[in-house]
Amino acid sequence: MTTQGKHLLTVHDITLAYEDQAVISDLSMDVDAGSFIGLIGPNGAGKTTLMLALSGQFHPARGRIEFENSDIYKANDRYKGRIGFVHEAPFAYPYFTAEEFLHLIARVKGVPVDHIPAQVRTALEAVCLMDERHKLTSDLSMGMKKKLAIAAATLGRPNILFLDEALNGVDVESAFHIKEMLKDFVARGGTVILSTHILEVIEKICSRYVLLKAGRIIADIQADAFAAGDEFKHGDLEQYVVSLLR
Amino acid sequence: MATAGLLFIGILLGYGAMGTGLFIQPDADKLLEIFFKEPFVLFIVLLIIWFTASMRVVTGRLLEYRYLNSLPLSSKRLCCYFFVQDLRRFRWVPLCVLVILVGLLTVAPMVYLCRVAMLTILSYGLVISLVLIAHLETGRNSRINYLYRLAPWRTLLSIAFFALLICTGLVVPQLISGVFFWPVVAVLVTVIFALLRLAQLRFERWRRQNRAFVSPEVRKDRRNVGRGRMSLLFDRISALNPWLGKNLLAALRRRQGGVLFLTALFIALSYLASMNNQLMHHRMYVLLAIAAIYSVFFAAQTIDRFASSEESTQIIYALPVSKSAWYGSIFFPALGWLTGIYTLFGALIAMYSLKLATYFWLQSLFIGVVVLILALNSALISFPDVKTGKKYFIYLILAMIVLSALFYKYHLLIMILMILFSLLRIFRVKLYRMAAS
Repeated sequence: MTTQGKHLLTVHDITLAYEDQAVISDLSMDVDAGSFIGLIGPNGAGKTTLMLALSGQFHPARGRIEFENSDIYKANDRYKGRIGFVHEAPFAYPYFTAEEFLHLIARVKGVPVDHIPAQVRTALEAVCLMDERHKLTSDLSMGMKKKLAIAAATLGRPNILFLDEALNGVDVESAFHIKEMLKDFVARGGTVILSTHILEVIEKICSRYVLLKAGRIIADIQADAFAAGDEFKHGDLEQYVVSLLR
Repeated sequence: MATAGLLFIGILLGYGAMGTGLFIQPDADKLLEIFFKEPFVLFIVLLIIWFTASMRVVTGRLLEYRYLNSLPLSSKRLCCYFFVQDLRRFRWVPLCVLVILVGLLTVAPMVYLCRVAMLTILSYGLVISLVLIAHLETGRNSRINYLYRLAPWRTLLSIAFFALLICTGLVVPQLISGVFFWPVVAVLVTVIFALLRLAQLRFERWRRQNRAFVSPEVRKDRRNVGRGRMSLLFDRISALNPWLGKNLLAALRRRQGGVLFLTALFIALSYLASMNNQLMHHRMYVLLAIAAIYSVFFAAQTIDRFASSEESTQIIYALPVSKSAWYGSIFFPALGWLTGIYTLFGALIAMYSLKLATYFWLQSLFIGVVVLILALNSALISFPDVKTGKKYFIYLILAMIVLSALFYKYHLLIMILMILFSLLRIFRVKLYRMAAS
């Protein structure tokens, strides 16, 4: 993994638009290795679209995104092998058991065959899904599917994890274990970009808060600086975010 | 649309069932001789496609039922909604039957075919209402969701009933001629309305019980995923190509016994139809034509493997997917299936000529490979838009047929060029979304 402090991802003036509307306009940002970024913003602010672009799934109309100084859309497959993505409503093949699904993902991600069973087991344990590993994915609840998607994202020892509303709907105990796992992942040099509406989660575990509004970054704050409270008189992330969004 | 349909039925009735025309009948022997050659095979192919299309609807319908059931709508309205929706969804079935009937104009009078067309339309309505009522027929003590478990057999029986009605109209022309015609129409219409009323009552009962959906735990109990055996197979094949392993495992777990049965039926009927020809090589060419048509339909169906119901863009876009491995995982099983069909046909031909069987096998395999490549290329080029993929495939097939017919001497070259043309576009396909500029 890359050492902490270097820019792992660099975003240069990207613009993203769907057929009928622009979502992100001229956005630039850097992501350091070992950072835990909380992406905050109202519905429609462009959080998911930005995450898709950063994860190599949505080519910007303008601008470019670099991972370790190379364009992520030029070496797209290589880049995708080094990240993990959890969607808001994750998909899993219905005819597979949870364990088989993870085996498939591990193979697609190019995990060496000998390492697959151990990695799958670790991933299942991390999200508290060991007891459900032989269940068909179609028999899993939405919360369990999310846990399965998180487990799948961690396979192949990725450098970056993108979590789009990943903790919504996950039970308290599992959410606790997942948060611990994410903290551990970051402590070992990994990078997490988490998008959620639950500010308590962001406040508790993120090292940086990025606030998006109408496709633009309106605040980019280090958690330490925010906690020190010199510039941010509110001292409470929720109040601060609401005051900026007004 | 409804007005046009009623007008059409009015014209059919006016022309086929009024005055002296009502008593006109065809030469039954001549009609049957022609019908049980190629038109009958087309008819069976059509029914198989209808069955397959119906099966695709079942899973989506479960969610639709569940959602609509949560709305304050009357059972009568919902029941009519499902009926009309199904009538519209499969309206291509009676239309295709009418086209097949037009092919019989040389041996049967128009007035008589109009009456068969009426019978077709009424039988279609009858089958749709039968399928609907069967969908809603959920027993009080049932632990199993009928929508899943019995749907294939119910639909199969209903479609077979439809085929039987049409064939009876053709085999026994006097049943829909003269004094018998109007009573037959009256009985069919009455039965349709009675079934609709019954469907409405069943729907009300189903809503009251609200037991149509079983919990995941119950479903889990009855699903035998055969984990140990499957996992071993999955592991071995997945080591070569993870997508291939995934597709084979999914195919095994779907338990498509109905499809196997229908395919066997199709092969047997095709062979019987080809036996109408005296010359052996004519039989072979009839089977070759049937195999080619089957290949095109099968290839078009294979495009659905790229649909969102089968493959998620979430997975394909988020993971480092190798295009060739993914493509191969759909191509090789599909080719394996087609080869199996060709081999069965070939084995039947080999009973009277090994040479002709070899020729048939090689020719059909060549056609199958070309058609499959064109279909999968079209699907991949348009991914994830399956509709555009199918449209593109139809254009390619039509262009290939027309160009090959015009320049038959170069038909091989034309096929190769079309494949290369579509392959060139595949190289440019990116497995991520492009932002609008």
